[in-house]
Amino acid sequence: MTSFAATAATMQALSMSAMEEASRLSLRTADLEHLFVALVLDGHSAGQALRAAGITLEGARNAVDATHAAQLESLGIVTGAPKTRRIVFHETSGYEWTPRAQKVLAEAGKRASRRPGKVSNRTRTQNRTRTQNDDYAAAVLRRLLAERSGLIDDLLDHLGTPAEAILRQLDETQAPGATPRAGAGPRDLSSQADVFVPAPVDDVWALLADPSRMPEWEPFAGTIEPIDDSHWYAFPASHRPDGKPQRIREGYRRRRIELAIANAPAPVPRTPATPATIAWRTTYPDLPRSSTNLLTITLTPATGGTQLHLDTQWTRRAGVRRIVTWPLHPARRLLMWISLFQVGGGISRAFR
Amino acid sequence: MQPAQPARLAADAANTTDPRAGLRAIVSLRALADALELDQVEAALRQGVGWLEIADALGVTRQAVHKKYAKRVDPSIPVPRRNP
Repeated sequence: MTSFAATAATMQALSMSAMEEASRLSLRTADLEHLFVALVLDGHSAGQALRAAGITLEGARNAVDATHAAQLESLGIVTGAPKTRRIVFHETSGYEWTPRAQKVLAEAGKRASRRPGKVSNRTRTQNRTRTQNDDYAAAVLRRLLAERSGLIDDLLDHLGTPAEAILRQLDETQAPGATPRAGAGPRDLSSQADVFVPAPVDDVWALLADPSRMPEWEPFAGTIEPIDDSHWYAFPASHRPDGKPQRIREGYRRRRIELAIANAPAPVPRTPATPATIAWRTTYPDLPRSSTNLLTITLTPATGGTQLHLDTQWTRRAGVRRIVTWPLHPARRLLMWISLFQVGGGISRAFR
Repeated sequence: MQPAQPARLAADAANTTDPRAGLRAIVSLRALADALELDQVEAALRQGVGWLEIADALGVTRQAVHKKYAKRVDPSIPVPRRNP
């Protein structure tokens, strides 16, 4: 995976999380505080550093509410507890970044693409620390902590966590072995992604291992019907989340689902070496030459929640069809990554 | 939301002794106004109020309010059309 693709994938994940957070607050413009919450949910070094510094999703949200309440109170406006709303980002549109959030993302992109070792002396905070493997989300976090509006400083005051403590954690945090990939290796049709879910591993397992709850996180599944103890049919929803009718081609009206692997979480106390794994195999029974998809999800307990590693693989066609479809593989890999991205987002959203 | 005493509101909002803090507070105020405006527009559309009436109440043109909110509101709300 190229650094450009890695940056684009991370930016997409951060944008989705931040705009989902904005949508909870009846906003369609994501600002710095939503970007901060998105970083708390990041599956890589930035999110790990924030969580290791003791910042949870709930804590970050409370700090955002408290910061805004204090700002408004300084103007003589007293607000009650903010309304708890659900995320409607996937059902609505018209979202955008504020100019200052866009600036942070753009500057972090330049920073992440800079060669390791070349250190800017532009600001004291930027200058403070630097790791060799500074991924894009980590660069966004560093840039956000150096942001000059004062909003992030206020947030950190409410959290009781100094920026230096987060930067120290960021330096100490090693990125996990697997990083999200927009594509796959040249020999297989597969794609991987790492996602952080702000919920205990047992709760995440209960969601993923129950086929009747698949519509909560798998975009293609509208309803589920059992065939036998280990097989189910999944039928797509008649309408998309935004309310528009769904058009489904003949042959794609149902999928057959099979539970391929189910290694439940080990009882407490757990050891990090024994992650739980679940795998769902999917085919289109109404297509004569249907490929098989295997979605494998590994659940590892992490600070403040669960770290998921998602891996999706499609069986490759044999014979002439393999040669004929070969030029389409880059597009197919992109579609696989988008699908995996939606699955990861769906799982995370179920707990927010 | 509980309204503040008007006299205190006017005094606090006009307090310019710390303009940096005041400017940051204005950002929160703007976000609050945006969220409340979207909630009110959605509530009005749910009650069958048309874009023109919403625009008049907000003091902007129908085109402006439609451009800002047509895509942003909950798509499940049946939006009244000018030419049904």
